[in-house]
Amino acid sequence: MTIDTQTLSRTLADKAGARLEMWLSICSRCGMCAEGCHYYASNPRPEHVPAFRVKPLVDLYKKRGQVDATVLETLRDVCYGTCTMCQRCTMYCPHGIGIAALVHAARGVAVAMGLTPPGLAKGLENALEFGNNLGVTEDDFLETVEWQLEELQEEMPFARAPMDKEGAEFLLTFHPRDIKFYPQNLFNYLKLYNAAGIDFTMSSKAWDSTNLGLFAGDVAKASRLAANVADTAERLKVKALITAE
Amino acid sequence: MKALGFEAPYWLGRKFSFEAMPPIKVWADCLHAGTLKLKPGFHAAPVTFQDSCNFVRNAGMYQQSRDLMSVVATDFREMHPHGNATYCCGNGGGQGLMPEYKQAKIAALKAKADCILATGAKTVVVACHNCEDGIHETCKNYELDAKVELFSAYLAEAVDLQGN
Repeated sequence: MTIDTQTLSRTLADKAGARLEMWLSICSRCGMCAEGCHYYASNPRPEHVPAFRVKPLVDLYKKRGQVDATVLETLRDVCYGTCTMCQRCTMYCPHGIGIAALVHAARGVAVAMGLTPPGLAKGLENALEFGNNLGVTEDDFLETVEWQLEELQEEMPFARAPMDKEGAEFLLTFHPRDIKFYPQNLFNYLKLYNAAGIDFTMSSKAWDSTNLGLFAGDVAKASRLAANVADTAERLKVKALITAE
Repeated sequence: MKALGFEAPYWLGRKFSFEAMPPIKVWADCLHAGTLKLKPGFHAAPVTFQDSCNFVRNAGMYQQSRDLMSVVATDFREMHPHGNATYCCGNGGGQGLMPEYKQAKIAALKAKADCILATGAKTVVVACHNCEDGIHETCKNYELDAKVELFSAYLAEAVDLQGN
């Protein structure tokens, strides 16, 4: 792998900010965070100490991006392969260092260098093309809603599933699997919100509130996905958006 | 939740005109307002709850989740640790979409498996789709005799249609 050093330097400069620089410089490798991590609790090895996950990023900054490909491959495997970004370790850190945020920044470096894990990259592509990461079409979405509403009306005749209604209090959003693989989940959400009698709507265009850009560390694409849902919520003038479970 | 609730306003550099809300908050608010009627003690089997990093540790839905559980479950058992200190389900941060790191993920589920086993629960309620897969893999790989159920399904079963 040849390294595009210009892109790498630009990415490192983009990610550098007061918070990131402070965290990288104050981590004293005390190891208190070890107890916070389920990778370490399950399998106590030095490379499972959360502070270790910051090391590839520290190396990159120290060497101002003048590194060989193995450093970047290590960074990718450490930041994607040994962390769920659950933030538990931060509760054990005496400085409150946001290790998950640093891992996220490291993932951003991997993305810029073309090292996004293929599974995440594929889902992200779907999300940008279809508005949801499983590639469900608008027709399929509308049909699934209609089908589950009919099922629900058998036990709850007054049930409704308003679509693209302006001025509702809540906008319902889902995980795409609720539509594509487990429509029973959609049934349950409609049942709960109809039972509670809240004033809600759904959107035919923006109903997936998951964000694979966040997981990948791809802030540019994550922003586009978030904007799709946020702009819809604002256009529909809802007071609140109910996220996917 | 994390993207729209916490990160997106910074990514996009603007404040939204709406609030991003976890489903647990809406259910608990409706329960407290008396608009959502649930059958008390509907679920009798021993049950525990997986606190999700984003809904509990980040969005602070600990009390709301317990308020709902205490209505519908008669034998609720906490994991130790739980709440903000709970161990991750193991499937956050996109782990579900990175098969190349699956072995490391499964090895790291042991901490969670021990917690679930100690409760003796037969059902683990999860309020997040990532947790759903993570806990399912935990039960499968560590041979736990417990099923995984989404919070929405667990509550929807207990909806009191006469009362609503």
